[in-house]
Amino acid sequence: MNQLSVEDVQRLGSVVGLKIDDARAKTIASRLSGIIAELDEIPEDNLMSAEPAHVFSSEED
Amino acid sequence: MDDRDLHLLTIAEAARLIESRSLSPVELTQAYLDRIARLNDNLGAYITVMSDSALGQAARAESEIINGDYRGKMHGIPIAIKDIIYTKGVLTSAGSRVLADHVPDYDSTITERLEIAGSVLLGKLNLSEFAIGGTINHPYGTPRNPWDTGRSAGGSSSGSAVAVAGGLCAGALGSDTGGSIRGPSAFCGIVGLRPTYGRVTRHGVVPMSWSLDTVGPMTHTVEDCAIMLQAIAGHDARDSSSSDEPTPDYSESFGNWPSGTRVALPREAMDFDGLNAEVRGLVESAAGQLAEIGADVERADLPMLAHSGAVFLATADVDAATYHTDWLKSRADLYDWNTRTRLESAAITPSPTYLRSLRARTLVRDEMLATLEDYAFIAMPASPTAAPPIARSTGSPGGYYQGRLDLARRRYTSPAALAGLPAISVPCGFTESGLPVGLQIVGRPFSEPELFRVAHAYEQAAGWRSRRAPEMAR
Repeated sequence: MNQLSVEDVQRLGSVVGLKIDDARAKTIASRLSGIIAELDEIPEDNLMSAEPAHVFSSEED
Repeated sequence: MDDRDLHLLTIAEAARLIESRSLSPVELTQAYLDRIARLNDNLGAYITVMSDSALGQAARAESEIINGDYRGKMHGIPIAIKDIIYTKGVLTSAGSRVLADHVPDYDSTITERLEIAGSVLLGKLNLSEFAIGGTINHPYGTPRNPWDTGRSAGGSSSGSAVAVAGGLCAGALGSDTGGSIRGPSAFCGIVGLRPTYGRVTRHGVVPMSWSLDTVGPMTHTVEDCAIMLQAIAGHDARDSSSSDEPTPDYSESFGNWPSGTRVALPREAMDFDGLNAEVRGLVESAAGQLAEIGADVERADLPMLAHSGAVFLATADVDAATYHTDWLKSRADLYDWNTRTRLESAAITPSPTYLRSLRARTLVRDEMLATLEDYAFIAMPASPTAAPPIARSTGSPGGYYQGRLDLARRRYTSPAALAGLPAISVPCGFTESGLPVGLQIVGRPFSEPELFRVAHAYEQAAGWRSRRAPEMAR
């Protein structure tokens, strides 16, 4: 799902109760697709070896 | 000193005069209130001015000091705070029409601590809506850069930067989730500190991202930054993210720093195509000055910097959307176009993308911490450009998101935020058109004293402090 369409955005919006008009959906599709594409550029091996981040504490630091 | 020049005093200078009873807190407060009355309509720094209570606090401070009860360097100092910080009985709008009637019935811990320190609260400061950048239409007026009022003051702590740089308060508090203190500080030629995550309590602060938000000082000098941080730092049992790491005496931060201190200058920051050539030149000159005063500055590779903007947005914005879920359904028309678009984008972010961003955040943090094992500091621009014109910086509906470049430009402030590290922006020169540029220095967790030491040493060596915004002369 690298390139989201306006329809994708509106469908996802309706799932979470948001009515997203065409102009806004177009911007969101571009924005979210860009974020997903950028994250996809991170080497998969590196990513899968990393634990998801959680809030830091002074003890950790 | 002429009353008309009182706004030129730093906090440290004013504190010395107040302690020795050479300066009245009431006189100082009135001087700022007069400037706010004269200049705020144009600069758009304040949402709420608290004239009566400020003069009351100033009179109380004066009386206490005359009676020998001097509390410290913030006693009688007129300051202002970003309008996401709760103030009992006073509008806390978060810069949004959604909270246009929001009057808290309690103070934030920070507000309480400022009062305990004896400071004078002049008012509440403008910002990007809900501390999320990119606001097009500010419902409480557009913040304008005191160096050029046609230019942006950055976001989201825009009002805080404008108020300090324009001489409308002695110091201010902003908040920094992904650069909201450092960016506006750089654009407006002041010093701004993002503290270590957990160093400053967030109890009674409207959240953007629960795992990234910090509150910190924005001031004329590094010394002032340390004075303000001292007043607000420390553990707070009412904030689960608050650290119990002991708070040092930041006034002991200044002085010599060890020769040969290693400073990393990331290639991914300095060689980025989107970095303005003048900014690159000024930051390279600043690195040269750091070397002249004893640092060992070296280029270093931090490849995750290039991805950090996307990691930040996928993490922070989803956090924010969670807080706004109900309002997005019931009061969506009250949001600014860009804020609503960004929040709705986050609200539909697929869960695999969010989880991927959390894993990537670990990689960013590990890379930053590993670098800081070899180097004491990481230095880079606080922003890839100087302040852009207001019209261009705020964009227009449909033109907000500018593609991959928009993500790539976030590489300067996102890494420290994602890693929970302290970072300071200090002025490092001016473009040919007279706009300030900020040098960002990132340190190890809870290394604020060391950050103050290096930033102060640079500030003294560089001498940019003597240059003031044109609005300061009005």
